[in-house]
Amino acid sequence: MIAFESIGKLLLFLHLIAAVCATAATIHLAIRVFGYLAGRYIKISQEKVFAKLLLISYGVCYMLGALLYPNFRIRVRRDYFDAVQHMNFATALFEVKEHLATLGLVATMAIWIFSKLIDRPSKLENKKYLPAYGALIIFMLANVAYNIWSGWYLTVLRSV
Amino acid sequence: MERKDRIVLAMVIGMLGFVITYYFQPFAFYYYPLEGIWSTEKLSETIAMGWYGRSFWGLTLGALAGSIAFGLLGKGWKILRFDAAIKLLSLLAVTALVLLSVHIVIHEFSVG
Repeated sequence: MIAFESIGKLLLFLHLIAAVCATAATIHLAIRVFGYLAGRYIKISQEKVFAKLLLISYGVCYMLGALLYPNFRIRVRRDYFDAVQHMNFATALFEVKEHLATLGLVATMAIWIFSKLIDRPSKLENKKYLPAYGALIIFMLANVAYNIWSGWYLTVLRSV
Repeated sequence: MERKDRIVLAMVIGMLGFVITYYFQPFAFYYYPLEGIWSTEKLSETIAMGWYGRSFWGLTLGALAGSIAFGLLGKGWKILRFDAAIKLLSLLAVTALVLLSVHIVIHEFSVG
């Protein structure tokens, strides 16, 4: 018996919901922070909310993905990608997705810390943090874009 | 050192600690999904999953490095008082994350 195999589809659905929330939070956060970099210091409280939402939704998404992984490794990768189709490309897509998920978790925590530290982005003492804050959000935009796209594509090929 | 700068520098060191640990993988443990067991040994005759161990060690040692740095930077250190240095170091940590991502993509697709 593979861990969490019996509730694989439920976990996958919840993983999708959390991923959609994390993507939406990243996009909304990017709009606010890119505004700061352009000198538009508006809707600051919303930026804090989206940073917190990103941390929570990404953390939940990550944990659900970790629970799903053994089921995927056996029922999808071993039984289908490797044994039937010899789809090395799909395996590589997934391996990159898993590693990027861990890197994204680090970036998400750093984004949340920056959002807590930068109380007022217009203050001179806070401006030195904005380039790294913006760079982390660009990293997360690329990260969630890849993970959402590859997750969708792999599920189309074969689901748990 | 100002408290905010101290937090950011500790975070930078934590991120660099994570990147170094994740890249070099000095420690490892594996999950065996068919047997449902964890082990530090890699058995060749069955399927082993190294991602859990790699992520665990990377996140744990990164957090440890950040915590130690936060403690040390509070001991009256006067280094890096310049805003440009804080800006540069925080961008360096993000660059390290990006380079690790590029390495992973190249490695996984060349193996595949």
